[in-house]
Amino acid sequence: MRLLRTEMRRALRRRAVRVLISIALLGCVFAGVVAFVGSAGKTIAELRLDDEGSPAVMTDWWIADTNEGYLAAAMFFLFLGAFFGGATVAGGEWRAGTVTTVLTWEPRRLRLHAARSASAGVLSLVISFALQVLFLAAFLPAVFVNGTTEGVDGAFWNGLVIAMLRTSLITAGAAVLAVALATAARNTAFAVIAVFTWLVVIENLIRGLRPSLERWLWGENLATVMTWAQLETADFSRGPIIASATLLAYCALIVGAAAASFGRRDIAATT
Amino acid sequence: MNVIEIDGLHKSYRHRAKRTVAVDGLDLAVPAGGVYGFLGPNGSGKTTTIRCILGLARATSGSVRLLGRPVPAGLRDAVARTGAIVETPALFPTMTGRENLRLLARIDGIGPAAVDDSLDTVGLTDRADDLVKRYSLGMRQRLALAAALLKDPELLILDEPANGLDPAGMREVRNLLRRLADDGRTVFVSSHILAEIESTCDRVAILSAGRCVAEGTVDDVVARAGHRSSILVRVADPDTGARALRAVGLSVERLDGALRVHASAEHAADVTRALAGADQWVTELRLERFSLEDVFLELTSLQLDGQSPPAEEASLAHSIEEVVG
Repeated sequence: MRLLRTEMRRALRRRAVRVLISIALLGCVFAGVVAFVGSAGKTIAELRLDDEGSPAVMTDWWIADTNEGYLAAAMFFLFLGAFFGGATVAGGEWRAGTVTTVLTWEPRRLRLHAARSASAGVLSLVISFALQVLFLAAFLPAVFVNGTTEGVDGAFWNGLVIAMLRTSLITAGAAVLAVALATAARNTAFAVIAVFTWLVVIENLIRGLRPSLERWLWGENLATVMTWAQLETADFSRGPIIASATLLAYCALIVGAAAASFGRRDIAATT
Repeated sequence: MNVIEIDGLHKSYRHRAKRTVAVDGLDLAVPAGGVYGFLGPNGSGKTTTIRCILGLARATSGSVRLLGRPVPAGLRDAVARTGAIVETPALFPTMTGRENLRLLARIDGIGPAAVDDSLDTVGLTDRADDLVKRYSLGMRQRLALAAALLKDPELLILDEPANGLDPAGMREVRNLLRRLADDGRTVFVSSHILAEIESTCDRVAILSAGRCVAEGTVDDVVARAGHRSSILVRVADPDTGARALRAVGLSVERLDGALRVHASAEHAADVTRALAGADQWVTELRLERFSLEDVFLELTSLQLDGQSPPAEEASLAHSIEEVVG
């Protein structure tokens, strides 16, 4: 636990992590202002008529039936932020050479890697949940001044909190994956470029050339887990449980490979 | 008891299909107590050896024991009793010096009082709350030293600890190392600054091209390398003086206006007596001593030139052990 706490403190002191959190907070404030201004002067009926819903209508924050809503907009950014944050926590350590310093205090590399991954995961989980709360809280002035809480009941809160927890878990997974990739490559940029290339280039190529493999792609499985809805296409059907298991398997494979590589490689002072 | 035991250590790297041998069959036994100098030119394998000792690099073959524990299997226990600096001090630049130490201290459950003590020991208390990114290299080096001292270690392994320090800082570090050794710790320090080592170390090992070419006390290494001290004298007539000295059995070398007598300081009286007997009055008499640097340069240049060291030098590690042991 001491090592985990130390890793968490170190991660929180990284400038990139602080910048990411600051950007997210600014984003929340901006979203709140836009929601308030955008809903001002409109009647509830007009707000409800909007095709995309309105953040001033609380029930539009998360629509359990369709698994859509304003919260979904935050998910993508949280995923990106957690991934970049995790990559910079691990990659920055290699760049600064502090991996060597820490190993002269804790030579059990797998333990260190586990603590670093766990700290990234736990921090992402907590920060992501807190940011979602703040993101939605930023809409409260619009709701109370211009909008409505009509229709909000226990089922709504239940669905909303479960969606927020699910998002937090996904961002935690993204951070752990980023730590693994940056550790394996000893580089922040590699982790970011590798995932970008995979998601944007390779997966699109696979979709075009081998549609039968789509069910195994990160994008499809991530979308399924994020919305927690059955993904139905002409070629396959994917449920959220199977999609979660698929993503977990990918994550475990990459984390395991990174841990094995970190456990065996020679450590130089800097990369 | 030996705090570090290295047996047949071999470490090679493969880079772009080319294999580079960094350490080539190194045997080393560092006894407990005192300051042990680990010398060698850049690229001789000092840092690689230190990395193998600390488990940061895996030996290609051979074995290493640190504080009696095998590396890497017993590292956890050994590292808890070892303070180390490896290469350039790597610390967290966006934290203050004190925060850096506190963070490391937490890993081993060390309290803040020890952090303050360490900062005080290396003279960084006044700048402890500045961000490390604003530190000079010398200050980073001191902070790294403070980090190494945090565990109150039995053994300190310091890789070039005087790097980046000004002369006053180097003297402070030298005094600190001596003080730590006098307190009963073992200080294993690598360096290529020979003047620093010579005045601080109890024993030295000289590494060249990954091999140990000399090991023992500084005096023994100098002596066993075949260098004897000599006496330089100036007289009015060097030729007459040389004849007089040879007549009493001394080996003399004629220099430009002076004579070099290959004899130790104890023979100075014999020299002056012989010269006085030949009516040659000494205008200058100076003892010439060979330094560790002379030996170091000779031994390491032999290796770098691709020559084998003389048999006497090659077997120094063992023969000096016998003499000293």
